[in-house]
Amino acid sequence: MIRDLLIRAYPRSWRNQFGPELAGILAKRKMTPVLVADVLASAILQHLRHDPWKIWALGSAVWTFSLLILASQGTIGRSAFLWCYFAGQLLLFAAGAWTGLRNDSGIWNALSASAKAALVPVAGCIAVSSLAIVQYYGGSPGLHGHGVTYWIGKNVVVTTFASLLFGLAGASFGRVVNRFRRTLRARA
Amino acid sequence: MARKSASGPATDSELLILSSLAGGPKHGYAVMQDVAIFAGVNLGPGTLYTAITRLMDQQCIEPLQASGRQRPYRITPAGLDYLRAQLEAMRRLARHGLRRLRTV
Repeated sequence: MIRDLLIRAYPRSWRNQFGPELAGILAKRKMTPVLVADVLASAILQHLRHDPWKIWALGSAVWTFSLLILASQGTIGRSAFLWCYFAGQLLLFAAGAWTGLRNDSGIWNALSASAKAALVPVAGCIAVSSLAIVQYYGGSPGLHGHGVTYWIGKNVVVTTFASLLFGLAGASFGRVVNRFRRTLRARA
Repeated sequence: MARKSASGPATDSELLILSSLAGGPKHGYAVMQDVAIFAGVNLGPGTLYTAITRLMDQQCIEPLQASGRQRPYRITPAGLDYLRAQLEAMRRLARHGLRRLRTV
């Protein structure tokens, strides 16, 4: 049972290649906390190696949720929160650029990596900011003539669009740098 | 993670695996047992396969035809060069360190 779960902790492509061998070794070994920790650490490394966008997803999720917690406790002000949120978007730019640089197979791959990296924090941000809209303005008769649903919808569209835009910009930047490097190499 | 059960010269799992495969092709479990014998290091299965994956990416080792669940690995010429260079560097370090120790 635990052995199966440990094997399942690895990415599917890795499992297809090495799963049976690892299962054979685990069947011969006694399950200890050290062994479980060793295999789990290896599984995490393989996830990061196979899908590097997960590093960015993890980083941007930690960043965004830390901000949201600090903002909800009043530790940081509204303008500081907005600036930090903008810095988070730069993180997505970096995710796109990094993937564009690493993976020369196409801009859509880089954009897709950036979008995946953005998925968790953007969803969290949308949920929490929508909650804030309902909490603060739910009782108001109207916000500039619009209802809460309108503002939540706008929040969803703007946050998603901004994240994709930063990701696309990063991916394009990575591609341009790659092309420049190729040109330099060709000249050398 | 590589746990040292006795004080060995190195705990770098990649070097240990390459050193083991330098003696001939082996499958994962046989590498673990071999490393435990010649280096006194107990490689965990996770550490072993993380290193095997990395060594395959670097084309230092290659898989052979699987027999059942077990698949043997063989060191490549690139792997031999890498191992030789690393061991030479360790020998230089050891010689240098021992020479300095004599003067203490």
